Amino acid sequence: MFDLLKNKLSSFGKKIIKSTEENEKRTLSPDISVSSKAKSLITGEIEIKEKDIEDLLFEFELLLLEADVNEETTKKLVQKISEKIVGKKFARKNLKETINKEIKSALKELIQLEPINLLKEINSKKEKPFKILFLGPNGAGKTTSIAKLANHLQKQKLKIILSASDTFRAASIEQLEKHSQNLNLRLIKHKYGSDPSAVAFDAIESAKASKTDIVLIDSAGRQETNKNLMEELKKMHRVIKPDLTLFVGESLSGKTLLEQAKQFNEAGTINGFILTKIDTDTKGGTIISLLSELKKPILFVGTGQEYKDFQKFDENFLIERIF
Amino acid sequence: MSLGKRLRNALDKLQGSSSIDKEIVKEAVKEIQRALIASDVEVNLVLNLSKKIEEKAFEKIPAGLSRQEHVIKTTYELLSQLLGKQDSDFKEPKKVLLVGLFGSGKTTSSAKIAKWFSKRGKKTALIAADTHRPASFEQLQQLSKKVNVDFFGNPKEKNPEKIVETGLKKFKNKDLIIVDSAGRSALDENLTKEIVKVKKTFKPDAIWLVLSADIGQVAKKQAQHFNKALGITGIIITKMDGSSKGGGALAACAETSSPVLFIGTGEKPDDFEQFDNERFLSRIMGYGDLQSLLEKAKTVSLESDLSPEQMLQQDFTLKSFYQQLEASKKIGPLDKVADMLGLKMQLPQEQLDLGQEKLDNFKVMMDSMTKQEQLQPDVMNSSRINRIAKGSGRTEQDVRELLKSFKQSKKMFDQFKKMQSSFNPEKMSQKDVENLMKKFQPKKKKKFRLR
Repeated sequence: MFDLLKNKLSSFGKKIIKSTEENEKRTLSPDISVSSKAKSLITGEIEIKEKDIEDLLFEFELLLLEADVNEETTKKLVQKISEKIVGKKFARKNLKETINKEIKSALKELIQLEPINLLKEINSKKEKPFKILFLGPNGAGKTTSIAKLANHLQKQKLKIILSASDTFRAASIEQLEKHSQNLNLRLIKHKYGSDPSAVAFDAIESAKASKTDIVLIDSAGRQETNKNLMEELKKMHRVIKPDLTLFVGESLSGKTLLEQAKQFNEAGTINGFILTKIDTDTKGGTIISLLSELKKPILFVGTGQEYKDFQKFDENFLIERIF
Repeated sequence: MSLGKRLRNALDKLQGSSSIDKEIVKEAVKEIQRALIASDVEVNLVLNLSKKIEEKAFEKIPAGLSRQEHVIKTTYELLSQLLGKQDSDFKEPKKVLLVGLFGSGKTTSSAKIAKWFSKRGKKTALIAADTHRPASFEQLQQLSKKVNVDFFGNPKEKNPEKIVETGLKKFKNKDLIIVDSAGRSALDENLTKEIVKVKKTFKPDAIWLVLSADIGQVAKKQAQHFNKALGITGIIITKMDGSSKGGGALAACAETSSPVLFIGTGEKPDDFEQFDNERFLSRIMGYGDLQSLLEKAKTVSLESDLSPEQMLQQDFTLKSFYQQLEASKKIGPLDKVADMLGLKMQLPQEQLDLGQEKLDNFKVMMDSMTKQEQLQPDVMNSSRINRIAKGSGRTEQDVRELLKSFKQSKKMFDQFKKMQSSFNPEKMSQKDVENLMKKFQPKKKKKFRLR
């Protein structure tokens, strides 16, 4: 996971040092900077000049793009890093660590967010149930993520009802039904082709009557370019009034995920993300751009096929793995 | 900004530089690199490509071409090579195994493929060999009913090989058998072993990798592993109707050296097209895809009275608007038509988003019009509008909306008509394309009043 970023980031630090030192040697002989060179040797400091690392920064830009970071974020990150190191003097000792630290803090500044404490949110709501709406593009793993989250919440002794509001895709209802059997959960369903909001409404009413804590509401996968389906989503928002809307996206989808999330956010505010299929050797850039552009937290990541393959996410999940 | 537009912008930098200016070329190449990588195209591919483009830019230019045109042509050709060589006579498979990552759209695609071939006279059958995901059996079962092909599966059997074995016996007399397998990451050893065994039992002559258009830089590694384990012979790209244009899938083509065969363009079984790399490229580069549109329109016109050529010759009246609405049910909504023409961005969004419900409403209202009104919409006045509204049980506002929509379509249609004679995307120069685009720029709202 995130190997590419990890390897390339550490070599980026090394290259900066190498290029700076080489330029220093070159300018040593008949130059005016002799005195500064001497000074730098005495003080044990080295200055990183823009022209020394100009090409490296472009290389770094491509690396980020290669790691699925989108362009805006790439620009911001490169900008931040160059602000932190260009024209600055650093101690020669442990130079590599220092530079890595600067890169790390630049990244951290970009992606750090106030996390959502799901349990706290659920418990602080006075009127039950707490309604969570799941949405996202086709095949992102909404239904599976619902089952995983249900499993996770069940362990906290919370009562849950599932709403089979994907009434479009073939066998979607059966799929959720099987999960509900496996996990021993109640499921509210209608026929295929029925109004997804109506299913959710029934599920919420049923939860009220049975004093259930949480309703997890599925929805049909849709492409953000399909205007009619996005209208349907707006209606779902109006009828359900979800306490939390989670966008389920594939971590392996490249720069498109950001665009998708933006469009979905317009149909109804997204509060956070679940990123699936993170075990498929994803590059990690998707995570970086999502956090930095939309400023909404990732709550969980899906790491495999079993119910247990579901982990809480915070920015350290990423940072620890790439530094 | 679309990839095509960015590439053009980058290449614009070369314009006017008759002499070779290293710096300018370098800038342009850098911009091309950024644009391609940002569109999820794999980095090594991009670096190779841009190196070749750079070389070409310094080459002696053939007579009659500008430096810019020469580089555009080169870029186009290089991208085209990447997409794999197209078999002009598409080899007809007998046994197809579909593989891919989770949620890439294998099951939906298998039904679409089945429909595509059975429409062309092949006796086709589907086998559900995904024994992992809950209700995958039911999904394929329901889809096979919808597309009307034979189906076999066994929800109780956990071993996909056994299902395939039984299915093979059952479907001995079929022309084409399609096996839908479970989604998997090719990096997962156990799941890979499983699919290799399924392959041994099934003995497919075609193994198609299903990839979602929005896949990022992971595509390369996954394609590599799938190819190593199974030997991929073709690629299907799904969800091409989303924002993404499938740049990631290019890496899969290069990695498996197999061509893209089909693309999925929507959620219905008919939203499926045979892939043509030149058309695809002209679409992502923004030069339009008139050929594909006309071909589609042709198959539709066999079914209805609408012929696009004929339509372009007549005057556009409410009657032809009605015909167009009828036909658009089959061709697909206007936005797809516009997309094929490379004009999607240039048309007013409201025009593209006419919902099905609205279209039905329109037809009801048009049924309440007299022949004269249908053929000469100019005669429309408020008393006629009032009558039509009453006759169709709609409000006057609805009728006015219909007329407004008609006017917009008419405007668009007139544009099509004007350019029809000159529209040849391949021969068009940069300037022509830009002029054309400008024509379709939505004008600031000009209200028109009905008397």
